[in-house]
Amino acid sequence: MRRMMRCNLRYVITPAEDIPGEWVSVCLDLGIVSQGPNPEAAIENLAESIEMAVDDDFENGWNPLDRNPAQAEYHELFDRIWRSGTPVSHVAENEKACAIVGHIWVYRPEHPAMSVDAPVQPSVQIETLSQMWDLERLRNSDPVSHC
Amino acid sequence: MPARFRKVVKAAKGYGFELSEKKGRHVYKLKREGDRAFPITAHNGLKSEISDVYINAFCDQYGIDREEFRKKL
Repeated sequence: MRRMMRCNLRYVITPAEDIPGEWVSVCLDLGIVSQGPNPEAAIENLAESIEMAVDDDFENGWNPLDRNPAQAEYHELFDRIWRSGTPVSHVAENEKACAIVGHIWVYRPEHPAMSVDAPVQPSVQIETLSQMWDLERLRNSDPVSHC
Repeated sequence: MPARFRKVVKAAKGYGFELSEKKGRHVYKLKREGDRAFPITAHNGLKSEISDVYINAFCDQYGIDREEFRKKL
């Protein structure tokens, strides 16, 4: 049975403690993890993983939001940074990042294809909300952010 | 301690999981009968290093004892 999903999912990105140079991204609400060589890649890969998991859950008639959420420490970290952190775009380039937080918007239409002639589209649409936590400045510089 | 993706897959097989083909650019999924899929990003295929955070999240998602799982890596 197809159902509609429309929600914001929270994520935290931190440098991987056990793999130098890698960043780990964690979706708090679904307990899904991904990684990448920089924060942007970690977000892109997380979005791809979420898309796959949400699609698979819906195919099996499960609510993705019933997945086990991430550990409490990630929720605490998110809350702390969201409350008192600095937007990435406001942080000086020589400051090092220890964590970045943000939201991913997930929208799954009720009926992705209304007819057999409809163009094939991804059944889950994902948009990374980056207005507040702009990652643009991370592209050509050391990672920056705040704790 | 990170682990090679190959070893994670082998250990997960002991819990009934199978590795599905890659979807998208780098995302694989571990799946077992009647259970939710667990996506894993692996840029270098089975040679990829998988962070501890992943392994913990995988164990937590399926109620697997973390230490027991690590012994199988």
